Amino acid sequence: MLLMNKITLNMKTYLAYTFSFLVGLSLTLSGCNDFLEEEPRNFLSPDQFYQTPSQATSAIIGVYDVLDNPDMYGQQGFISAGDGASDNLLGGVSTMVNKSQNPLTYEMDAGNTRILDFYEASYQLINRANAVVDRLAESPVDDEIKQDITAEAKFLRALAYFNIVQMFGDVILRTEEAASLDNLDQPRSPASDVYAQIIQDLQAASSDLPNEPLGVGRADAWAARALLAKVYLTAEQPNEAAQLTGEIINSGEFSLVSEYNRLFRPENSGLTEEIIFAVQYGPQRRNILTDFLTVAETSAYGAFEPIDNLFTNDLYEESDLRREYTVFDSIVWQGEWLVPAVGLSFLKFAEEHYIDGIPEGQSGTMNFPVLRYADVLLVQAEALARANGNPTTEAYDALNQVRARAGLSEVSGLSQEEFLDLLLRERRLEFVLEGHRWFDLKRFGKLDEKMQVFEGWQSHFQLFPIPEAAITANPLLTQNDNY
Amino acid sequence: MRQAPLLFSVVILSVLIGFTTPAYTQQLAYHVNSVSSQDQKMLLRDALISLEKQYKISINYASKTIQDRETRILIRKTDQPEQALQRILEPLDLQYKKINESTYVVQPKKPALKPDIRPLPRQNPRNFRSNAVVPSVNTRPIARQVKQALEQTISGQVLDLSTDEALPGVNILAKGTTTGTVTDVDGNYRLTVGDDVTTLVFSSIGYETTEEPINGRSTINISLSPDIQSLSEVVVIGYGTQEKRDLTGSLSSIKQEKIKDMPITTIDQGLQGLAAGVSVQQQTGQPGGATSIRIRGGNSINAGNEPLYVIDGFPIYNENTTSTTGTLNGVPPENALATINPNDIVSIEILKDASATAIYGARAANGVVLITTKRGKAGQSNVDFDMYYGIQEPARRYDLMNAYEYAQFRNERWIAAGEAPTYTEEQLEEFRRTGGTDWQDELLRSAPIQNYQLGVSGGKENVQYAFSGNYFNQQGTMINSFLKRISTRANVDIQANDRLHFGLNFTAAHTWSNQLPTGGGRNGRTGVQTPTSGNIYQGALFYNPAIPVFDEDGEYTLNNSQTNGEVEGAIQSNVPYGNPIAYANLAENRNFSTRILNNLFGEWEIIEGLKLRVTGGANLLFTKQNRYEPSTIWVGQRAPNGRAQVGTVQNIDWLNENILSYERSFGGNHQINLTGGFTVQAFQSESLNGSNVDFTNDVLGYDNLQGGNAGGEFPPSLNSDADEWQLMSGLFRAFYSLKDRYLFTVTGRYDGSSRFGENNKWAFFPSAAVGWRISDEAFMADQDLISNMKLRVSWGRSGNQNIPTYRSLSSMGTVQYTVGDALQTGFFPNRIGNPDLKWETTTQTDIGLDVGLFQGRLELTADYYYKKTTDLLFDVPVPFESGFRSAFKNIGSLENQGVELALNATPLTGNFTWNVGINWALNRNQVLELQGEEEIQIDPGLNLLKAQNALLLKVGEPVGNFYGYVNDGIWQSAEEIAASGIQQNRFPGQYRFIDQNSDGIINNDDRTIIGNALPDWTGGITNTLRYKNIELNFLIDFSYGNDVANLTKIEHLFLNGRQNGSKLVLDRWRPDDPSLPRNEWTNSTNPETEIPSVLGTGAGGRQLSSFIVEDGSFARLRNLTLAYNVPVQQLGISALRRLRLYFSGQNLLLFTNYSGLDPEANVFVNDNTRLGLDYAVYPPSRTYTFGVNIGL
Repeated sequence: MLLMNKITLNMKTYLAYTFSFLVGLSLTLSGCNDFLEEEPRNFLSPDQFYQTPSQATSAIIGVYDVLDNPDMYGQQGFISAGDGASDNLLGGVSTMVNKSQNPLTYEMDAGNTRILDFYEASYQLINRANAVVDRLAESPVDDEIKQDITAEAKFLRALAYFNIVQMFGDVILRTEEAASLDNLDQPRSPASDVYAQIIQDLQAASSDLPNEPLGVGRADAWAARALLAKVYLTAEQPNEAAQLTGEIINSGEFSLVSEYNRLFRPENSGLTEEIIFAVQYGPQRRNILTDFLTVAETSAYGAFEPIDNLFTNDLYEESDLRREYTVFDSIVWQGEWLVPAVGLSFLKFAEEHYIDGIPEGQSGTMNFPVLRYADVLLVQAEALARANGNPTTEAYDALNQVRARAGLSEVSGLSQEEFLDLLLRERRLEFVLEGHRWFDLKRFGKLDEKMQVFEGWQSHFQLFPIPEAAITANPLLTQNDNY
Repeated sequence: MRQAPLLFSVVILSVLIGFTTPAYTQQLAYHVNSVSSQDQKMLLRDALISLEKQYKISINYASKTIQDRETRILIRKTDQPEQALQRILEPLDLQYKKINESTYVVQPKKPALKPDIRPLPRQNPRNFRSNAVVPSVNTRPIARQVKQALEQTISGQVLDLSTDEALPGVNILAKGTTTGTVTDVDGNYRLTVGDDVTTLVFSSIGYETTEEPINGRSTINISLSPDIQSLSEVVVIGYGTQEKRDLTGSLSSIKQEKIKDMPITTIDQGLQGLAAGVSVQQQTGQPGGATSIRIRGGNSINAGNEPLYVIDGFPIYNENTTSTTGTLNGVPPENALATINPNDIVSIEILKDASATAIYGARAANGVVLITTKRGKAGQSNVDFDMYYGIQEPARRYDLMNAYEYAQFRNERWIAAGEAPTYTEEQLEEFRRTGGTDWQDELLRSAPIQNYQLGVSGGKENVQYAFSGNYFNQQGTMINSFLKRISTRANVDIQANDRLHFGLNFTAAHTWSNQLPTGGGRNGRTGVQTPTSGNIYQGALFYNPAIPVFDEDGEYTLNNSQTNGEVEGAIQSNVPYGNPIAYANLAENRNFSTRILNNLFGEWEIIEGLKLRVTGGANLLFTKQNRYEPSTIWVGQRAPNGRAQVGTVQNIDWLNENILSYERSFGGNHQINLTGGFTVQAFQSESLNGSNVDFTNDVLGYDNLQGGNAGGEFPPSLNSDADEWQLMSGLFRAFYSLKDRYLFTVTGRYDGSSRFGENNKWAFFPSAAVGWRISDEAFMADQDLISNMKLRVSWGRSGNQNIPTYRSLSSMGTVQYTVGDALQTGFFPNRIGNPDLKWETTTQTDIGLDVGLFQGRLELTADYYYKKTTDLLFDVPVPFESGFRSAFKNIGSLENQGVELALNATPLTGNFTWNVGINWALNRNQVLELQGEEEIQIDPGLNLLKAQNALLLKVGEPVGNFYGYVNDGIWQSAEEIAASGIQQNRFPGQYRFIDQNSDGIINNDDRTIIGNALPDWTGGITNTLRYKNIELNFLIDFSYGNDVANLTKIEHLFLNGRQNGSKLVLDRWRPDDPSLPRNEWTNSTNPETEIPSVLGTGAGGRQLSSFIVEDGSFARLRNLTLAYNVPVQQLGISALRRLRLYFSGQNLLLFTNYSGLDPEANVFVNDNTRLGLDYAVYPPSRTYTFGVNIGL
């Protein structure tokens, strides 16, 4: 009994100890929701950002970043739509159409990952731009910085929408940042609404942006005006287009570079007299386009090759200086042997890659021009001809400036149809590999006619298919006809 | 943690209830000193009291059971209480029952079964006991009664077979008589029996009963093997231990004996084939390569599927990413467990059902593997030296064309394509003469593996210790690949006083290795590398055999493109692999990992049965990875001029656990065991990577990153990263045993995890289980067939929190864009947050039956389980127009159900013993819901399959489906093509695929499910055969019905002539008249072939088809060991306690129809959906080792 008492006593003491220990421990850890709070260490939260001028600049750089993406203005995006999907070049699995086999074939379907990549990249750019516009509106940074950077974001957003509205027709129009998972589904908007938004953004950018860019290669008011002119032309408002191009031409800010090939060399970042807006590359972020322009058989990727008929159908006038800067008969190393490659290769953009015509150099540091003065001149010519029903003197003048640089004679006295035909060919030769061709053919209403040479071309290819994966992800998104 | 105090109130309340119940346990108030003296008679009661004192246990008995009986004490200090009790009680026809860790009840044995007609003991200790054959202290008088007969006196020593230690208290009985004796403390005995006695029977609790023929000998020394199926076996469970008989959950236990002779590199390899329902795939042969472990099937699709490892109480989730910096991109990940020395393991317990796992809460859904390492025992002082040395060789090789065959094929290909042949007749003749280069031979080798381990263990009453040091060196079967490890371990236990116990588990290990890029990439995520990136096994498998390793100047040839010896004008180039031998020998891919795993605990016995255990530990893992690819090899040359990469990552993981446990029995019929506590764990990882190219020379390499960028054009790249998570938990378990046959367990864990969204930080994971020991029911008492029968039913929930951190938060990403000539950093929103993100939950029901027949010689465990995992995490596509591709959401569910059988039998005992273990498991996996989709196609992420989504997740189907075309042989003629209605351009000699939808076009819509990587069933058989001192073990494991995509075959039969191929290419479809245009070809000589013509792989050549997906069923002789225990005592080698020699072979035989190297290979290690994809994986090896165990 005595023993039992002793044990009971001990038990109580121990119990008291234990109890206080546990209570103490519980109290120590009562702040444990703080303990479980995730404090990001290797990234920033959007709510912490957009608060200072340098953050605002970083945010707009984040939008520009999409441009140099291979899916966008790098190899597999814009060129593969504008040149790859047109009659300019062959393209294999890494382009938006499959034309890799002879006889020429043409396959385009909703499963094509390049189309998907371009579509996604475009909306990535749009969402980043939307975030800049939305978040800067709430931000404490200076109004002036706010206005400049918001205008840049609007320019970039308009550029992206302008590409996809031409390619896909009606598209989903988002002008607000996707900041939460709720309500992300949205149907397509009529193309006219999209054009209205593009025009609104570019008008704002034209008036808000300074005439000098905030950094080398960034958009300024001239870029906004040049793009707006193209938008007007495409939206069948040639008067407005002509007026804007006229402003640019009359400003005297721009002129044609004397030698055509200088435009596609590394030093083109300095050619501000002709280049109005270009995607920037440099030694640290190289333009891999050249890797895709090498002689087909030596490339691991499946190269872009010129479609032979482009350059053999007497397409170039004899004195056209641009031909030798654009294509050449290349030779390649085969072990110890230098041998002729199959057919033609592109030299445009790829000059750096060849040493004495042999592919040995590095991939490029040249910028990729999006808007240049030659384009403004040709838009001017086209807009004037369309606005007036026939080519005006100013229209001839603009066209002839571009022809003169190429070493070609002046033209005059053409009918409206002849003028536009010549203009279309001029655009093709001037801008080959710059991604204009498909869009030009479309604007001229000549896609169907010109693409008939390809086995497998179908009329509904005048609109790209909405990528299947995008439709899967968005139940409200519909497919274009016949896909 | 608002709810946590509530939980604790419950725990404390339970404890209080325990206290206030009157203590029934008989308390002892006085001391008896003499315990271990020999041949000393004393009252049984006094003996028991002294045992209580000695072992700090409580022994309960009814006084009439004890009465005035006397005993002779035969206790060694090193005895466990059970052994001591057994020795004392056995001769008195009494038995004990263990109520809990420290409480025993002494009671009379059950009435003997038919003692009159069956006087002979059977070969089982338990039966031996129950037959009441009492070799007692009065041996001699009995012997004298038979003095008419001639007598023989036999003496000798009895040892433990596994440890070669002397065994006291072993019963020795002359077979067919009641004459017997027991061994003394040194294991010696002396027995006089009649000369008509021919056999002695040796028996002891915990050992297998052995019959030994006398054969006229007067000295018989014998070693008894431990009876490892003993029911009183104690197994480790989560936060405690439990007797196997009391388990209500499903658990597999693997003891050290099963794995100790295998040259395993990492712990997880030791689970292979040994436990039902535990599938372990060694997916790469690289030393230290990762394994993939699935316990009862995969529960998850996008979160982790690996089990939680708990090493001496420290939970570690084996994320190989934690030991990888990303620097060795293209190299399969090294197993993070490679830094844990498997030679220290005593047992591995695998917790499978929810009753067993739920106490690990949010990390337990994939099962839990508990690893226990060696600890010292008081009174013993053992020094053990173990070593093995072995040779590994590549188990299989691909059968490839030699230079002559390749050159001839290539010429034929070129001619068929309308081009000039590559090689001249003279060259062909030359190749025929020399055979060219066998690139596999050049890359592969036989390689040694060796392991040395020194262990010291022992201790006194107050301090026990176990130390070990280990050196392990495995050379890979690919040149210049290896893994080496040095590790040390110290486990120390200190009894500070009667109530305080402290312990330390400390391991420090360092591994260093050179790895080669093979198979998959980092984390298996980046997939097969492009030819130019240096997957060297791929290079060796497809390299032109006509190219020599070295050129005329003795320099390595550069790459497969170089046209060594090819004729002028040959314009088609080869696929540009770099010289793999040059890469292996000149490039370095070094991995250094250091792990310190340190766990300190203190245990305070507050009152009898109530213990508080506080643990603090840290798991530190530091890795550095170095890569240098010199300018003399192709990837380095292209870099340009050499590429160096350095990465380092430090992981700091700390743990605090506070566990209160209480055990108690009431009135003999009630026994409770309560455990409650809370734990905190936090993890931090920080990494730094740098790389540079363009070095002026190759001398300093990765040790001098700043030496790069010699031309100023390629500035170095730098990345740093940090990551952390925290987990805070409250847990409890209540075990209640009624009448020792109705068992109830309830567990719960309340986990808070930082990984989840702010709306879902906390989760509760409950489980409940009941067990019914049917064999202890009265109605079972009259039979002796079934010695043990228990029915278990459990239900519970567990979670899976193994998703990447920070996924619930919105974030900004960084990018760079060129402004001017310099890069500027940009920021953009790169993830939409999901504040609702939470764990995946697995709800599991298990019904199990444990049966022991023939007194435990046949034991069978059968389990049926059903698991449903809900709230599966998916990276769900969001409308792309948001600018995002996907967001992490809890949408989806899947189920696994299956049957597991484990059978353990001892068909033979005695001199020749045979133990066989068979396990068999069937698991059926089915996807129930997929983020609202019917199916999701998955990109295998492999270059050679381009962007084909060749894998399919589909509702109603299991994970792991291959999605592709059904191959229907080869097109034989234009007529056949025309008749088929296929409208696409097809030529005779091409693959023919079935047009599933009969639309005349073979395209994506004609794909169907053509196989599944999951097996129908798996199993393993272990056998232990022992004759005297010789022991033979072998382990065979099986997998049936699993398919493998033999992607290497795609490339080896891709007949473009630009890379080497399989010898099967020689059996290709050959046109009767090759000069005809190919659309007019026919083949009358070899129409049955499955190999297309030289121009045949254009259409569908790199598609996943039924031709590529093969049956991967296999049976493998995974291990075979022959061991000899040198009878050192008998040989009088007194310096040695034991000496054991063994020979062991791994992967000696593989029976499979799979045509690749190994059906377990997978490019994607640890991936949940990319299963069974075999492509240029580091080939598995066959290993022969010779080992020695020396005990001092």
